Amino acid sequence: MANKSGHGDIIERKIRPVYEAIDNGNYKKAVQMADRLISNKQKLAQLIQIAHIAKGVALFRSGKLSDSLEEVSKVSSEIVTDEFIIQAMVVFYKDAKPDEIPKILEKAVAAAKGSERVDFTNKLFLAYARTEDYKKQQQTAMNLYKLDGKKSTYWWAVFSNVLQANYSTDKNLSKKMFLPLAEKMMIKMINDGGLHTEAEILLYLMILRMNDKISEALKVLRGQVPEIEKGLLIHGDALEIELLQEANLYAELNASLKIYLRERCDDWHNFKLYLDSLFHLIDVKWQPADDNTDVNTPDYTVDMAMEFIRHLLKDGDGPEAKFYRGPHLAQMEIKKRHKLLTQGEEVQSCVPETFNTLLKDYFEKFGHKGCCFQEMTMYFDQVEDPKELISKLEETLLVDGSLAIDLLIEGKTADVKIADVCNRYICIATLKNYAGLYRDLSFDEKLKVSQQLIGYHGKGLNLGKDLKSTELQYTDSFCLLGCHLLMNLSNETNNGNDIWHIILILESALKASPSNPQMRIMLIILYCKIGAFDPAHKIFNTLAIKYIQHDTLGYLMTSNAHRLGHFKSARSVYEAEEKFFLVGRRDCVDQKLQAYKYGNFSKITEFIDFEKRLQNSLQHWTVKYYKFYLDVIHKSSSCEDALSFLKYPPREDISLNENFLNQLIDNRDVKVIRNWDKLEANQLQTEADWSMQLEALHLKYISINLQLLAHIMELGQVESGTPDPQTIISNLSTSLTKFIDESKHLHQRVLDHPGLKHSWTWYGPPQTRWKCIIDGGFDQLLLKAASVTLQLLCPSEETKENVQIEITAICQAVTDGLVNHNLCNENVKCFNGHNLEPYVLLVETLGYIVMVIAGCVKAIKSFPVTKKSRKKKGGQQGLSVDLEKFKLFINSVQSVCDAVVQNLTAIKDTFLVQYFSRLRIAFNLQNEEQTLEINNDLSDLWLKTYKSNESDMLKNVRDSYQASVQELLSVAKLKFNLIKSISL
Amino acid sequence: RWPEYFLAVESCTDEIMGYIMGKSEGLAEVEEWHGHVTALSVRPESRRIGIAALLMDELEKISDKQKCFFVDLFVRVSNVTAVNMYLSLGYIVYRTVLEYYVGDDNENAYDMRKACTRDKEKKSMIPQKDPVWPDAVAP
Repeated sequence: MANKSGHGDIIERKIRPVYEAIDNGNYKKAVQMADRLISNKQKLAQLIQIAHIAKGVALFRSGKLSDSLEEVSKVSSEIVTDEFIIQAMVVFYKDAKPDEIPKILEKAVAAAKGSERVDFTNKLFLAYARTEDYKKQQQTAMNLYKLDGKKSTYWWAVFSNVLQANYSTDKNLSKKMFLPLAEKMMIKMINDGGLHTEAEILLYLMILRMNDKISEALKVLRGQVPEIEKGLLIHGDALEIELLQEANLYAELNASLKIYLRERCDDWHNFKLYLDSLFHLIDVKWQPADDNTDVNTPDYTVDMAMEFIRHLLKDGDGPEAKFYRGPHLAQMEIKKRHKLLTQGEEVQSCVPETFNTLLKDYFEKFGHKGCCFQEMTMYFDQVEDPKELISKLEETLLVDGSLAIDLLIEGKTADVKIADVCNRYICIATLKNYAGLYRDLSFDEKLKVSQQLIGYHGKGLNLGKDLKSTELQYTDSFCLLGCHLLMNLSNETNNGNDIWHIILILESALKASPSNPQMRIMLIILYCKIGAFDPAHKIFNTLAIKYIQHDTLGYLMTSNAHRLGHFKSARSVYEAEEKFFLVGRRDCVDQKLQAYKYGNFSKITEFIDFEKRLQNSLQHWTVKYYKFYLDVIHKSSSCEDALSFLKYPPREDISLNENFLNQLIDNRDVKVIRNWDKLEANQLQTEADWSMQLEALHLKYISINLQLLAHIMELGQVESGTPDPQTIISNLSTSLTKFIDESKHLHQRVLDHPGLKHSWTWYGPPQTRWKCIIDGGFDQLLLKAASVTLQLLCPSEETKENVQIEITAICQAVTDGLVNHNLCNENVKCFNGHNLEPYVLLVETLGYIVMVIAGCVKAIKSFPVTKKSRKKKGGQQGLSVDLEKFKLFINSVQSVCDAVVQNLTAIKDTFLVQYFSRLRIAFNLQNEEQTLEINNDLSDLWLKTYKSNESDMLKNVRDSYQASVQELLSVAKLKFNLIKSISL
Repeated sequence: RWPEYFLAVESCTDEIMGYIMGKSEGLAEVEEWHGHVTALSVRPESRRIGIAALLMDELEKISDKQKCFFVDLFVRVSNVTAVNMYLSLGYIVYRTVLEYYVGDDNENAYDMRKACTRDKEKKSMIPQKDPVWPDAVAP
């Protein structure tokens, strides 16, 4: 340990156990140990300081932010120049309050001298870079340059100007001041000694591009500036294409791309750019300045382009020809664009073949590649008769009149590649689906197609029996498409029982192909659809998602755990996600600072933007608020508990305003399940947009609910001796009124949203919780409870009579909820998990009402309300709490809580056990009551899947349901005990 | 530190078909300055169309521009498909690294190499006879 005091070893020896306790999660112990060091009589100043910081870290890790900040401020408020102490503070503030870091270093810079000052100034620059204070980082970089004279420091100053320009809201200032200044600084350095590294040249190019000086940038790139070293740019060719495109230099762009495409004609991105430039040149009737017949002449007519493409196709005539997909696609693209250009009248001489012929040709060449389907869909819409094309394609699958795949499975041919035959078959099947040909089939025909696909999958597993577990089976896609079609069918007929069967098919398929991510994600979705979170969670864990996948795929868990009554799992899932967002942001900042170190300036802006994207992620805020809500509603057994949960985040953070919600970014990969239907793909995008909007509204809902609770709980905390009844009642009344207004407004916004009544695809974004909230009237129940509470606190002549009716109505709504979702109901033949979500909402809503009542009672009891005082001040609003009816309200809620507890106990102890002991999945069998009836037509598939997996699957699902019910029961009991303990 | 070594290939519908991540490392003085393949991945639907070869080719070009002597990579000995692909791209099995992949069953890795243009005599591609332990290959 470098330590100016010379006591480094002693300090390190004494502080190490504290940090070890922190690392082991023993925060309480760490605080105690740090306290002992602080109070030690024989103290070393540095030891005391580091002990304060260590204590701060322990407090922070245990969630006590304000206490931790206060602790560390005992050191940071002083002028510290000890590097070790500064480093410890920087580590603490990185997570707790990054804005504090520059303040510490500013003081250190001012106090330090010589090389120490250079060192602290360097750190100060990085601290400003961390907090994105671009102006100060520019000033600091220049100060540092004056001290150390390093070129790298100078580039930091230049780049800080670029950042100021990039992120300034005043674009005029950016254009007229920051960017010209950055360019001037670059030119000075070029004149003084030139540019000799790739990083320096890339920075200069970045500035020139931002200043719209593309021709200068091209000169630099082409090595035409003597002071700038040539040949240093690694991706110079790609950069030149970007610049030509940016400058709209279409002729040069086209010529450059021709050269590029001769080498990489499968690069579709650049092929499209070539075609873009071609059609632009055609559009402006471009002509060369002279009769230049150089090979680098751009193509400016369709004929020239076709000649170029034919040349590429000819190049591919050899044995490798089949690998060049680009020229074939380009032919179709030209034909498509030319058709548009000539307003539908195709010029036969351009590409004489029909799309039908071109696509058939494409299929013959590339049908055995996995990418063929996706590429063919680009031009499939151009085909006049898709059925005719499909039947032509199907002809290619025949060998001596039999399907190649049949021969293969039956072992009658060995002269083919298994993967090729399977890929060709599935490509056509998916194209049929894309074209909607399956959509038009009858129920029986659809079922037959699914059976056939799943049948092929089963038989095809033999072909891949030697494949490793890390490899996918040849026929996996058959199973996926078959199950996809079966699910669509199940949705059409609204037969939820089929899902159980599809799960079994997928479970079997997954056993044969354990690495298949699509199967796993599909299973996760289906298990959650039947309300079984546990098996879904287990499968999700096998995906081993990491880093940014928490943001893109974490929703598969976070949108279901809480909803399906797995509150403990929900908490752990939220914690894992929160950890990613915390660590992810920290990593982003660290990577950004590393990029400064290595001069990778273009990456710095990427990291800044990426960090913002993480910060504004819908998933990030959803997780944060769901966890918060979970703690407050589910874990609180008293007002004190609730208040402790409500302390962090601070009150102002609870309120989510519209601007904030509008800034949220949806990073969820809601299209993760492969889809082969064009119409569904379009619908999916609409659903993604709606899902984002409804999720934001749900965050608002949680925010409104938490705000009310926070306010009520705080009012109950009024210091004894200073109660002001009128103020308390008035504040409660204001909060409740605000809640009622906001809830009504929100309710209407949700009702008006088109997504609410929409029939969502089963594999798209998770269905919003709003549907269940609105259908079950749970938000209205909260609203009514708030309204009753308000009337009881501030009774008036008009409301006096109604309040009792409203209390009865609230209790009736809960009782109705129990009946409607009662699993013991004789009419409910199948428990398929649909009951769980409303049940969770019912318990949660009731729990919330209990919390509101408890908070209000606590607030009321903080001042004396006697019959005398009521009589005395009865005329004054706010002091005439209707105690009798309030008691009635408490008793009524208590009795419905009791009913919920009893109901859940019955489900747990008897129903689930009995139900599952008799449950089996079967066909339309007579006299079998506890069956999940499956359509007889699926019997063939069924027999192949159920035997090996049924009992495991049913056990997993039953255990999951039992866990849900157990957790719901715990919450209900907690709230029942709370309401029982309330007395007025 | 090495953004130029991070490349992805996108499909015609803008989906990631595959990616490669790499870096340069080693001492130039002992002719150990080399490009290294950290990860190469191609999604199942995009296999067998030359994506991996394309990405490897790019990485080799970058390593050439970085004045590297060779490119190296580690691959599970059981990953026959990948080993064969690298062999077809001109790589050789330089040596075996014992228990390089740690897991339930530790697995050996092949350290495969291909010379860059700077290594005219292809000295970097003379295979070692004896296997080594992972600490011998740590940069």
